[in-house]
Amino acid sequence: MRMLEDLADEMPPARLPDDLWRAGRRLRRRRSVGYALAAVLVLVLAVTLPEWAANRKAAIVPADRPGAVPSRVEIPHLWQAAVGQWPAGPGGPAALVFFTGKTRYLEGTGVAVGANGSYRLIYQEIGESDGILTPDGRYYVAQGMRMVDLTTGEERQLSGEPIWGQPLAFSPDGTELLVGVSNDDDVITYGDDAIPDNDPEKPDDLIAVDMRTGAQRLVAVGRMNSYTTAAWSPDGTRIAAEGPVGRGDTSRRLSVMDARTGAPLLTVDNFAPDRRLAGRAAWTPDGGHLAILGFEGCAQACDQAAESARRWRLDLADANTGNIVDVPVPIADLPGEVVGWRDGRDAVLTYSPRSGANHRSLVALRRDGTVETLVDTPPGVSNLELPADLLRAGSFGGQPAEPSPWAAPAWAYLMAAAPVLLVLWIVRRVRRRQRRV
Amino acid sequence: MAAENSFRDYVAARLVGLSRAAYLLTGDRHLAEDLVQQALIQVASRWEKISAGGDPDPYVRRVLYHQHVSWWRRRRLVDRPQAELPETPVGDGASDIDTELTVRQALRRLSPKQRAVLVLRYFEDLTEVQTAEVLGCSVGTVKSNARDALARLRATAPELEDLRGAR
Repeated sequence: MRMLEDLADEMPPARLPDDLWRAGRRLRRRRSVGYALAAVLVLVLAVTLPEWAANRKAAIVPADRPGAVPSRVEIPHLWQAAVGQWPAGPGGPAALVFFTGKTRYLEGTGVAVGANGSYRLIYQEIGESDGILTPDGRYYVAQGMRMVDLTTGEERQLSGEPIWGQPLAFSPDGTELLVGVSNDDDVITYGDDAIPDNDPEKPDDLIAVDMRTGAQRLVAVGRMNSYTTAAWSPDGTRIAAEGPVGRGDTSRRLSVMDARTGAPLLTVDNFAPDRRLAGRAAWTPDGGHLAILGFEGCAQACDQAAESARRWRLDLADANTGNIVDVPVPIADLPGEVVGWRDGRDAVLTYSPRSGANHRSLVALRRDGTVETLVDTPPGVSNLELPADLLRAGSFGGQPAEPSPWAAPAWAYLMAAAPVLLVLWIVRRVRRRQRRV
Repeated sequence: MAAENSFRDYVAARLVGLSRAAYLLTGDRHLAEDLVQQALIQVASRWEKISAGGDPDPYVRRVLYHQHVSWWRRRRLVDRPQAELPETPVGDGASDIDTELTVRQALRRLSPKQRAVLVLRYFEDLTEVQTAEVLGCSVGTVKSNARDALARLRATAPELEDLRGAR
């Protein structure tokens, strides 16, 4: 149409900026970066979304279902994500935590294995003792009562100030945690005569910490030098505790006390050095007996060979009198700690073979002394920790859990992508140079 | 360097035509300038690929018209080039002012797609199939848009005689 031609004649040629070409190149670079970022985002989402969805599901599905505890775990990958580390995120409630030095931290590290099979690392400071899991497997309680939420990755201090002591056992309802709190002086003060003015060794206190508020309740004050083991009776009314007493820990004491008032119900002094309270689940499920681990063999000043040569057994002692009441159950290898009971009859305990001390498994000890492995671990695992709810429900026999190589922190993805990006960049440079020539 | 030179040659050859089409699309000189600049920056960013395919015109046209429709949709101008423009005097085009005003007002009453169809069909002399390719729509849509645009022009500017011949 002529009128359009006429109107178009009114338009002079558009003025163009001098750097039009460079602006186009800038746009091209921005677009390339955008595509690369989008590709990385898609890759990360493709990898993490299924796991994230599985974690969400695991947070909803009852954890104490049959088979929630894997029958075997493996050493995590060097690049395994820590709890809550982006983009892998938290792994959900733990089915177990094991401890090993075979991680990228090159020191003792907790490895939380989720009920969904996820693997996440829990960093431990150098010299930090192993923490314990809350009965529901949601929190890892680290030294000083630092709570690591395994479903969100958040960390918080349970009470205002850290409580420095040894976490020992949860109450059956999971609301309180027994902690042996050290009262020892940090320093020894010397007078002019070079003789210490103070005795740094003070008896410890046994306290119960409320897991909701962090409030501390004194259960036993100054009754033992320290608390090696404590166990809550299944009905929650009594606590059995064991520890050294006397100057220089020369003797040991087993004490059964009222859980509310701390009033002693039974005290066994001069508790033999070749016996010990079996662990946090030392009470039999009926609440009538205490499991005692005893051995024959070297009891004092023993070397490693002599310790490995001990012949162990599980005794049951009457909780009211302290007398051994049953035929001992022989234990072929080296017992760790009784952490639960299966079918109200077989003790469930951590266990090491005589040959390799740095290998832990979880076994059920039958009355005839045979053991059934419930959770096996590879060499290099030093300790195992399971949530009480799963132990009580007997949720064993799950599929072996393999660590996912994709549950990695962002830097691992970058490290993996860097060589590829470098090659692409070099190829591009070379091509560009060839084109110019 | 060779790519940059061929791009500069292309721009020098096609700038007038692109500017005129942009003006018809926007109805404003400044907007037309911005539209041409934006389109050419897009073209420069993909020039190697475009020039390797032979005739760059179809792609350039597509960018220009899509950019225009996109602007209209957003109702605002974004991402203007930041480089300083040369201070070149621009003619005010005051001749035949009555016709210009009439056509401009009539075009302003059209939707951007109708205006694009009109410019492509009757200014750039593309076929219906080519117009559909540029706009990324069906031939039927081109036909209906052209019909509606002409009908509206006839209604709003009956004094424009040469509309009668258009189909």
